[in-house]
This record gives sequence, C-alpha cells and structure tokens, in this order.
Amino acid sequence: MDLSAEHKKEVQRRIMDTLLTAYEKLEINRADFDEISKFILERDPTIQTHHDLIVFLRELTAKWKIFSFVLTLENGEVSKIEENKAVEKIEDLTQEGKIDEALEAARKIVKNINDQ
Amino acid sequence: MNPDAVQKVEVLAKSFVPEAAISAARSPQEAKQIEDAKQVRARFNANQDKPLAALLAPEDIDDLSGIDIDSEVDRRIGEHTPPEEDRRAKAKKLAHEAQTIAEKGIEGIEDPGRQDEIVEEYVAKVIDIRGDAFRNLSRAEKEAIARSELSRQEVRVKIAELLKKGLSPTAEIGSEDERTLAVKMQEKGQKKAEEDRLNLEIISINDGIARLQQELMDYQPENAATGTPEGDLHKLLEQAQARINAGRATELTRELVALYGRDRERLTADKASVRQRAKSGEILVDPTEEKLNELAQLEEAQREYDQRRIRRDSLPQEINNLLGELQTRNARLQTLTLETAILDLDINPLAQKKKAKEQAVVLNISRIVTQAANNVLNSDVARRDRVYGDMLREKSEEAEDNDETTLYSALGSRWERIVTRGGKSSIETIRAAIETDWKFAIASGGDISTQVELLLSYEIRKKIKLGTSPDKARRILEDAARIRERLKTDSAFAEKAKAEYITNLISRRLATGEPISVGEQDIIAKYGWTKHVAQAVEQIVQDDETLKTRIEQIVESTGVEASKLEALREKYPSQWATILAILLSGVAVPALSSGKHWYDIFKRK
Repeated sequence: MDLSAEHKKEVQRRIMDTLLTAYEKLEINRADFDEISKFILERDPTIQTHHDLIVFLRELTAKWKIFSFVLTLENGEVSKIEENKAVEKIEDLTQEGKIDEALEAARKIVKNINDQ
Repeated sequence: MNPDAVQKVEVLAKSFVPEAAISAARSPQEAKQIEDAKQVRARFNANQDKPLAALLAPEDIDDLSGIDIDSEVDRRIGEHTPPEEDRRAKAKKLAHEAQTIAEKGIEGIEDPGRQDEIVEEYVAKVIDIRGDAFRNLSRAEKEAIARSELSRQEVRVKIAELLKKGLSPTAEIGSEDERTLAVKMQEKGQKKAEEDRLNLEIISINDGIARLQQELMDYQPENAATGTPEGDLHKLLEQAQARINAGRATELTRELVALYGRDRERLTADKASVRQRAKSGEILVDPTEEKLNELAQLEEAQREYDQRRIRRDSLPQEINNLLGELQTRNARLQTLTLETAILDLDINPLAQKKKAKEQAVVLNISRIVTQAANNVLNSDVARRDRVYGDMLREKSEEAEDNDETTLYSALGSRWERIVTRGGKSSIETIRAAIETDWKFAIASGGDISTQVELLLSYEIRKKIKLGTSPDKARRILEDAARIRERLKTDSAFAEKAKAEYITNLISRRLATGEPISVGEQDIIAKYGWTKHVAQAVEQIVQDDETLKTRIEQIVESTGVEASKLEALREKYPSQWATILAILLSGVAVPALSSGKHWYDIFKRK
C-alpha cells in the first residue's frame, strides 16, 4: 500500500507530539529522548510504504510503550483502508450479480492481507 | 532536596499555588529538561511541515530554514548501518560459504579459523537441531555425533558425504532466520547463475539465427554483393545454370556420344587414356578432353547449385529450430526472473514479512460481504424494498391477524434494517416499546422526553400495521427518530408534543365515546397531565354539537341534571373544562385540588 507524504508527516507529528509530551512530563529522561530520537531519525527514511510504517511503529512501541497510541491509530487507518478497498471490490461484483465471485474475491483479499 | 527548598515547597503548597510548588520541588536536572522540552516543542511547532526537524540538535543546525531536513536526516542515516543490513550481510556470507563448501569442500574456506568455526557450529547444530542434514545420517552416526565421539576430521568426512548428497552443511549454521535467508540467497545465486548461462546461450542462438538469416538472404542473387565469395559463387552458378539451361551440357554430351557412339565403356576408357596421354605430355590438347572438362565443370556447377539449393531450402527450418530454442530459453529466463524476484521478496523483507504476517489485519469475510451487500441494498432502494416487501408479506401470512407484536418479533433483525436510518438507539427504544406494553414502560418512570417518546412509539405501532409498505414504515420511523432527537434538546417542543398527544387522545375518545382506558388514566394522573386533558376538553366544548351530545351522555350515565351542569358552567367558567373532563372520562385529578373537589362531588352524587 502506498504511503502519501502528507500521511507520513501526520504520523511524524503524532510521534513527535507523543515524544515531547512524555519528555515535558518527565516520563522519559534526556537519555531516553536521545535514544528515541536516534531510532526515529535512523528509521524514518526507510519508511516508504504503509507496511514499512506499521513495522516501524510496532518496533517503536515494542521499545517504548508511550507510542502505543500512535500505533493503535495507524492500525485502525490500515484496517480501514484495506477494508474499504475490499468492500469496494466486493460491492462492484455484488452489484453485477456475481455473488460467487464476490465471495471468492473476499477470500482472496483476506488471504492476501494475511500473507502480507 | 535541601530543607530550605522543602520549606519553600510547603509554603507554596499551603498558599494554594500547587504548580509553583511542583516546580519548586523539581531537581535542577528536571527543571533543565523541562526547559529543554520547551525549546524542542517550540522548534516542533515552528516546523510543522518538517516534524522530525525538531529532533536535530540546534547546535548542529543553526538555521533550519536553510537546510533540507530530509537530506540532512538521510545523510545522518548514511552514517549508520541498519541492523537489517548487518543481518543480510551475514546471510550473504553464509550463502557464499555454502557455495564454496559445495564446490571445494570445507577446505575451500580459506580461513582455517573459520573452517574450525563452521565445523564446530555444524556439530553443535546437528546435535541440537534435527535438520535435513542430521536426518540423512545413519542412526549410528547420529548417536556418535551426539556423543561427540566423532573427531573433527570425521565430521569433515561426514560433511563431504552430505555434500555429495546435495545437502549444505551450512544450512545447519546460524539462526533460523539466517539459515533460511542463506538458503534463499544460495537459491538466488543458483538462479542467477542459470540466468547468466541462459543469457549467454540466448546471445549465441541469436547470433546463429542472424547468421542463418543472412545466409538465406545471400542465396538471393540480388542480395549477393559482387566481389565477395558468395557473390562470385552466385555469378558462377548463374553462368553454369545459364549454360545448362541453354542446353550446353546436352550439346556436349551429344558431341561426345557422336564421337564415341553409345559405347560408354569405350568413352570411359578413352577419357582415362586421353587424360593419361595429356598428363604424360604425349598430346597437348585433345578436343575430347576439352569437351570432357567442360562437361565436368558443368556437372560440378550443377552439383554445387543443387547443394546450395538444398541448403537454401533447409535454412528456414534451421532458423525455425533456433527460434524454438530461443523461445524455450526465454521462457525459462522469464520463470527464473520471476523466481528470483520472489526470492528477493523473501530475502529483503524477511523479518518484516514474518512480523507483518503475525500482525496482519484479519478481515472477517462474512462481515465484508455483509457490509458490501448492505451497501448495495441501501444504494438500490427499489431492490431493497422489494426484498423487504417480500419478507413482510411472507411474515404477514405467518402472523395472526392484527398481531403486530408477533410480526415485529418475527421480523427481528430485519426490522432493525428497515429503520436503520432512524438511528440505533431510537430503534432499540421503539422496538422495546413495541414489544413491551408501552403502559408498563411508562409506569416504570423516566424523564418527560422518554414518556413522550414512548407515547410516540405507541402511535408508531398503531401507524405501522400489517401491509404497511416498508418504505412508508421507514419514513414513519425516520420521523419518529427525528422527533426523538428534538425532544431531547427542545423542552418547549417536548411540552407541545405532550399536549398534542393528550389532546388528540381525549379528542378521539370524546369523538367516539370510547372511554379512556385505566392505563391511560393512570398515566395522565401520575404525570400530572390533567391540564392537557382540560385543554383537550376545552377544544371539545368549542364544538357545540359535540358538547351537546356529550352532555346528554353525562346526564344519561351519571344522572346529573343538565340544568345543574349549566349552572356549574356559569359559576365556574375557568374550571368548566376540567369538570367536563372529569365527568366525561372519569379521570381522577389528584394534582388539581379543584379537580379533586369536583371528583369528590360527583362521586358522592
């Protein structure tokens, strides 16, 4: 799945806001802040697709729980996009009266998503 | 914290300045961090378009506006080797080693230390991991290895044996991920080698085809360049063919036959004799020899021509054969390219792919299909209504006459769909009101909106009867849903709705002479809606004819004289409506003292 530059920036803003809030509230110290910053700066340019983004957020959250909210939001985004795509395809087939094909398409889409 | 600071904090806290107290309680490091955080936050706020810019230390970048942050981040990334690259490099090394061992044995590894490492790792892994290599060993060998009874040299021998069986010992070395990756990379290497070989073969075949095509072209005389061997040949062939065609060979043959008759043996013998004599110098030129030589040349030209023609005729088939070979190799090349691409996918994002698989967004097929089907139904009103219409008719036949509860209950979730646009909560409320006796629902209490809503639900229930079209039912329920929403926020509207309901109720009762039910009386009494009853009656009394009829009914049923009623009307004009309401409906009006008063009077009567 493609990742738009605007969406990537939106996620970057969420990450930054989360990081800064934790830093301001003394939930993390300067060393943590530096380590997180380094991790983010290193990984950011490698994020080209939605898949990369999710993998990155999972790693980020695994290391620092404060980012779990960002991951949850993004998971919802991915899920929504995937579901919408799937639904649109099946809608088209259903409207054409191709019920069996719609079911088959649904199975394939689910399999594809699981195989990703 | 020193005692002075503690005291300061205490003073601030007691002075109801908690923020200041908290601030004062912070350590210098914490205070510094908060100050630092403010600065980072300020950089973040000022660079919303480049969110990560705030992470770059200000001492590194004095003027953010003049720097391409993305490039800067890229540059910094370049200074680090991502862990993924490390892992891939290690796997690549393993694959290379596996290839080397496969080709040259363990001795092919140049570094003796690495040789030992491989053997040690292999033994350790073979003991710990029951991989393919281990499975291919005999039981005795396995046990021997497990007991570490085999010497290092013996293990090397075993490795060599495994290699002969086509098994890679390095498949047992490294982590599972690394081994898988190494195998994939090795496969990719093999495929790449085959690709290279095929590419060379394809180049060679293409050359061959080009050569044959050129040869075929050269057999066309018009394409043969003069001065070239092919051109000269064509020229010769053309001349020979011209002479053959002109009957020169036949002419020569005829002349020779004339000289020697039909005695072929004599001719042959003479030819040999003449040649011998010419060779020995006995004769210089023999006319027969000239003729024979010319004939021989013509016959040679004919043979050459025939061979060339056969060759020319066979060339297209040869080219076709080569094209077939080319096609086969191209097909294999395509397959290899695809397989290599798949391997690339496995090799590069191996870890990510595995994680993504574990964390995949699992979609529920039935939910998607249902959602899609609903969308289709909702977008196609005619189709949807047809479906619901069929369903309603079907259920109507099943339900008993006028048994709406049975019908709605039977409709179940379908009913919900009909009213989907009304909103979930209102549907639930309406369904509850429909499926449960609304009077009991009201009796259980609730705010004024709920009461009116339930009354509305009751009305809806009556409006939506068997045979009501689904579309109409939906509109009614949508109206109800809208009203319900308004009732929540608009108290004046709620009051008006309540008054209208009561007025309509009483009006209907008065118009038909139907008594107000006990349940309705209870509700009117319980919630103090008597003034609405009175208002309803007031409307009735405006209608002389109806009033006259009802007074007659009162006189008849209560025995109260009409003149006494008229007297009451004159004496208590402001309460006349209430009096009538009481008389007409028998409603007790405990909330109104005057009502109670009148009720008591008539009760005594």
